[in-house]
Amino acid sequence: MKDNRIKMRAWNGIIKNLYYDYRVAFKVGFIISAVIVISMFIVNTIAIGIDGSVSGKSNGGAMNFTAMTALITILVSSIDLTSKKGLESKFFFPLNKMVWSLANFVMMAFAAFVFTTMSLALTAIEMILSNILSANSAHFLFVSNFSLYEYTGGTITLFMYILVWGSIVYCLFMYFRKYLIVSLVGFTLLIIFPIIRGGQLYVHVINFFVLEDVILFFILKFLALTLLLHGLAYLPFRKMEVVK
Amino acid sequence: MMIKKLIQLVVIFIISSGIILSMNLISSSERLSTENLVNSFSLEGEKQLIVDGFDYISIVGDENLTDTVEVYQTLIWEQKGKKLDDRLNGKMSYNRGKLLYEGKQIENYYIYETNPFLAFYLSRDLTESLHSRYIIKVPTHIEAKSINFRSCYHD
Repeated sequence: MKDNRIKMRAWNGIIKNLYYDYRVAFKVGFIISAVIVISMFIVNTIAIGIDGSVSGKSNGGAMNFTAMTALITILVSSIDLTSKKGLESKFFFPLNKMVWSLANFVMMAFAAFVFTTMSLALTAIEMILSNILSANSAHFLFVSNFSLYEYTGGTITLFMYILVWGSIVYCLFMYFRKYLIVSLVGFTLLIIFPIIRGGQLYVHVINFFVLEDVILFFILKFLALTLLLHGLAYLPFRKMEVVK
Repeated sequence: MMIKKLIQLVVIFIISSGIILSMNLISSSERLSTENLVNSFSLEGEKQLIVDGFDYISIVGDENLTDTVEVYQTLIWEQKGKKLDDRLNGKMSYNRGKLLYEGKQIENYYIYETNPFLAFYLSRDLTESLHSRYIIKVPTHIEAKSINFRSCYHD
């Protein structure tokens, strides 16, 4: 009973702590993407007013801007998370390494969901603004590219890309943190070796994951990859000395 | 606090999805006419077909097909009677079950159907073909059912 209470306390503590760290990334991501979407609407409106020529737009802009922002902010957050300061500032009684690792996985999935939702919200705003402009101007048209199938597939894909990207960076920098020289040499060799051989190894590997048209298999492959990366990241972390 | 945030996120997710999908339904009548047009084609005896559409087509062909079917893609940016641009954007061809763009193979081109996010990064030009006219040149001896055209708006 007491053990459970202690565990719950550790969970609550680390989740809240990580959430406050990610909150900055969420805010930055949202502000940058929202500014771009609204700026584009304003520029379009002004351009039509001044020029009077016909212009067109299809959706996807907001989704892509937000996705790019998400990938960059997740990259920065994951690097920060595995830094010396990031690791040590998280440790407080009764937190242990397993709880910390699991909390990281949960928060990364949460972050991916936040960015996906953010992307959809901005896409919806973009569509509303563009439709208003299209309805009020003979010089502007807006075409919606999304069908239900594309929407579902695109949303799941976006979520999985952000999750896996965050996990790759997290895993990589955990090894850099523990075994810097060995990891750097290994990583460089891993990049260079297939290029020297002239093979298409990485293309095949990426294709195996990315070019999957059955959405269920796509999810399973990416989920397995995410779990594998978090599992691999736990190995050096387990041997790490983190004191506070 | 976290639960409250999660509920807020789910609500935003549902509302956004609702807006995006309802906007999609508003313009579905325009797509329907395109869809009918695309699906009504018969290749038999045809040398050249012109397909107008605001969406792209995928070509599902016989794996053993050896003849090249050239697909010229012309952007017309035309909707609601507003003509925006008219230019030849590139050439796609289909050979032995492979879709080629500017002579290079596009593997798994069905990805454009399932993944608008990735499509943007793989090829802007092909994504822009959502608003294209296709001129398809087919050798006369290809059998009628060896290639099917379909709109991406099949749900």
